[in-house]
Amino acid sequence: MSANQHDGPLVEMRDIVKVFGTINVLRGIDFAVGKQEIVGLLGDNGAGKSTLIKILTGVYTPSGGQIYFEGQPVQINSPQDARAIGIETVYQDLALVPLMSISRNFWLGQEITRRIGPLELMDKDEMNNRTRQALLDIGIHIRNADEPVGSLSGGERQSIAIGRAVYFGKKLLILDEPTSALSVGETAKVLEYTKAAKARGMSVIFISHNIGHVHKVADRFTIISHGQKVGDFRKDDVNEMEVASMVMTGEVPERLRLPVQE
Amino acid sequence: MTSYSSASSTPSGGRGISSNVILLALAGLFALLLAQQIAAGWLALGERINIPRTDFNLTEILVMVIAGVWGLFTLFSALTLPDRDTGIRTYFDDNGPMPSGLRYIAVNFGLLGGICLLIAVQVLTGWLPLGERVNILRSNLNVVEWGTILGCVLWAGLALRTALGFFNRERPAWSWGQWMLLLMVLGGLILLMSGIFDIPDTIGRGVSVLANLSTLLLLIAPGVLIVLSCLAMYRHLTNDYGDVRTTKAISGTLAERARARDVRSRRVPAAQAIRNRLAASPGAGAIIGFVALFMFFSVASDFFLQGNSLAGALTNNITRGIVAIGVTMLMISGEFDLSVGSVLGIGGLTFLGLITGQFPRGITPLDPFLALIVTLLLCGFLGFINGFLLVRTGIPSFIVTLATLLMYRGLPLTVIVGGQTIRYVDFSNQPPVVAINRFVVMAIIALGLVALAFVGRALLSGQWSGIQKRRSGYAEDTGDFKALALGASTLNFIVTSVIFAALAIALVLSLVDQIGLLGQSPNLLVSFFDLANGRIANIGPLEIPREINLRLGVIWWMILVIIFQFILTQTRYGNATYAVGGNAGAARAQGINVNRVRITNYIILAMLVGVASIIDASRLQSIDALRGTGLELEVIAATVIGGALLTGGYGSIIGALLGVFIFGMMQTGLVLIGIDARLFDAVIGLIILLAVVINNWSRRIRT
Repeated sequence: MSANQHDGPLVEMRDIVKVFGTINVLRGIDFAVGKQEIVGLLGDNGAGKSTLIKILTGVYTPSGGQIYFEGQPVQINSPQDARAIGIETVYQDLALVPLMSISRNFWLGQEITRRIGPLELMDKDEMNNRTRQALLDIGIHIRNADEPVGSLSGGERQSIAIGRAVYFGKKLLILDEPTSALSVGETAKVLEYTKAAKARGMSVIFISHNIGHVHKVADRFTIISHGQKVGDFRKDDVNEMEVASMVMTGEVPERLRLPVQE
Repeated sequence: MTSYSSASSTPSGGRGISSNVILLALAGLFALLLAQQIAAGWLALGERINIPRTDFNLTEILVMVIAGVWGLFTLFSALTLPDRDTGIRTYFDDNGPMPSGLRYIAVNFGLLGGICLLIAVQVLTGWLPLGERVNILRSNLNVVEWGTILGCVLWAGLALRTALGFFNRERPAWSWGQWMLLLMVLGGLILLMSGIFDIPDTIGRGVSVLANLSTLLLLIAPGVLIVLSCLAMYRHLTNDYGDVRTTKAISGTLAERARARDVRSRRVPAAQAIRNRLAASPGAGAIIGFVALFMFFSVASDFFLQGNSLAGALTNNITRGIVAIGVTMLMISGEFDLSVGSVLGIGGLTFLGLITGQFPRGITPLDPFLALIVTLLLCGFLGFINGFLLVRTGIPSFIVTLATLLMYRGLPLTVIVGGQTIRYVDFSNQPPVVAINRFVVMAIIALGLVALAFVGRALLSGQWSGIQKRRSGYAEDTGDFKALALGASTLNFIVTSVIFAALAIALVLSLVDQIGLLGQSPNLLVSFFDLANGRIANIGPLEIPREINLRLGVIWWMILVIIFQFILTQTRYGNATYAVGGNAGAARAQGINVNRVRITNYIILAMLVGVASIIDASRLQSIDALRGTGLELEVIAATVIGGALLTGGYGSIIGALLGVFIFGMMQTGLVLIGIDARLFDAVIGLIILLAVVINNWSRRIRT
């Protein structure tokens, strides 16, 4: 595929417009994620973050604009389309089935099977072993893949969902508020696994209200406000205070405005 | 059970009155009472012919002395025992002196061995009659007595060996002792129960119980004695697990649990091991309920543990059992179906209508096999309507299937008017004989043989390699039960081989039989009713007595249970079913077509109801307009007792099977113990509540 030779950003959304009835939710947003880049997507409630992400994951279709994936224009009309091209979303509550085991969750929808005559059976031992190994590869230690996910903490669940996305060779991981209900220690773990995912070649969009958490992992921030982009900022160029003020006011501080205009 | 959380570092100081002391003291008092009863001459043992009441024979003196010593010893222990004996672990870890409590327990095990031997001798010499003894010479022993002798000798051996192990500092004795004590608590409970049930007969109805206090005490004393003393010893033996009994193992983080499990991998108190095992099963409530009710009815009624009662309990629940399989599948995927009763009515009506030519009116009667296919397709379609309405309208399944429950019932109500019944005999005096080509029969038998060989090979080779692994690692194995495990797995292997061999031989014989009959007639002629749900007259050469009404439908039911348990746990479809009920959003996010799984489960359920309706109609050979009314709630009840979660994502077919068994036992058992049958529903309601409480508890431990 020509996509492999492509050097530009992994995904690029150009001039995305979304109108619900008479309300302009997104008014021409450009948004891009580079390869092996963690982008923090920030914005106040109602700024349009989740609409933008839902367009990327195929839940909504845009009213205008174009999405490019690995340089190719793509139509993402359903969540299945998004999954097919390698976009994986980890929602806080929707990632895993609590009453099922870790390994059954891990392989859900793509279970390893072996054929016995006309019967196609799940190969549970193989599934367990490969789950344990795959999670160990990004630093998650589980002892028993047969344990129900419900017995894990919120952070552990997020970690397993991230590990699953990494294992199945996804290209873009979207983390929607991954740390909002986690303790300090667990947050640190999830941030660590996010970095591990990046180290294994994935790009990540990290959506959070907690600027401190985003700041720890993101390479770049995209801040949107009232359906428009406030700006893109490399992590080294801004401090947390400035990011917070941009999220709240939608205004770019004087200091940062100048180099952009030059 | 909760008192173990306090620090184990405080040595035996700070003694208060603990429940252990009270238990021990009570046990001691009961033992002394037993001795006193013998001394007073009210409890006769051994040969007592022509002996005045005040004289004693050797047995009585022996028992009296043992009971007396035991009672005094227990009382003494109660007064001197420390509340918490922290020395037991140290002792078994090869250092430290033998703690006094452990010595008490060891002596007790020795005494227990002696008592077991005494009982065996009593039975062997015919002075302790058991079971049915009408018209049997005293010196001739029946099966129950031989069983008791064998059990007593075995138990005595185990008890004496364990006592020796305690003195020899053998760690396995610690675990063996616990399990034996728990089993004895169970046995004591059974003894106590049977003593209580004997009260009305022994004392006589209408006679004041207070006036016969000593008889009353005698009836319940042995049970109480065993339960209390074994409970006290068990609690004493396990109170030193201390740090092993860490709650981190169930509530900690992944890493903490992994560490905790390293410590506790093998050594947990016996009761905890049972708890963990139960918690791993969705149907903990059903398992406990089944065992408890089975024990209860076995003790409470002499007629319960008999072929005809048990067969009746099965035969009367074939319909519920088969429908419960489908309801469980559907409930696991997060929905339920109130319309099953009406679908059952339509299914039975269609099947009987088609083979009698009564519905649709005026058709020529259909071949039963064709009628079966049409019935199943129609039921499947009714299930599809349920599922389709559900996913299309988004109305909750309760409302959708409530509506179809009422709508579907309209068909039988309009076809069968005015409280009539369509009876097969009104239209034909010949059973619906089907002719099956013998080659087809042979092909089916051959297919069965292939399947048997396949399953047998997989199962037996797995068991065999398990045995090999145990044997090769026997020396390094540090488990307390390695001998038992090896013995049990070997026995299991032998029994399984024998069963499979017997089945294979039976199939081959019937194959040969069919080849032989080929010359007489090319077709096997059999009534379809018998094929679906006829009485099983014999198993191989084994004749089943006429009063035992075991029907072929039970076999179909069990086959369906196995098939669907297999689908649910071993196939991708089963996984999808759990995921759809557990978290539909997550299932969708992983590419599972949630709506298709739901509709499929509605169709599966409705077709199973179709199967049930045909089996039901084949037995009664008639159908009325209200057949199946009320079935939906009974089956949901059985399924919920079996551990399925009404909100979806959890449950098992085996659990539902146990739930239906509980139903059947209640129906048979309540009548046998003379409780008003009108109270049946009330008791079932109580059982639902209890079972769900237990199921919730076990699920909480698990997650």
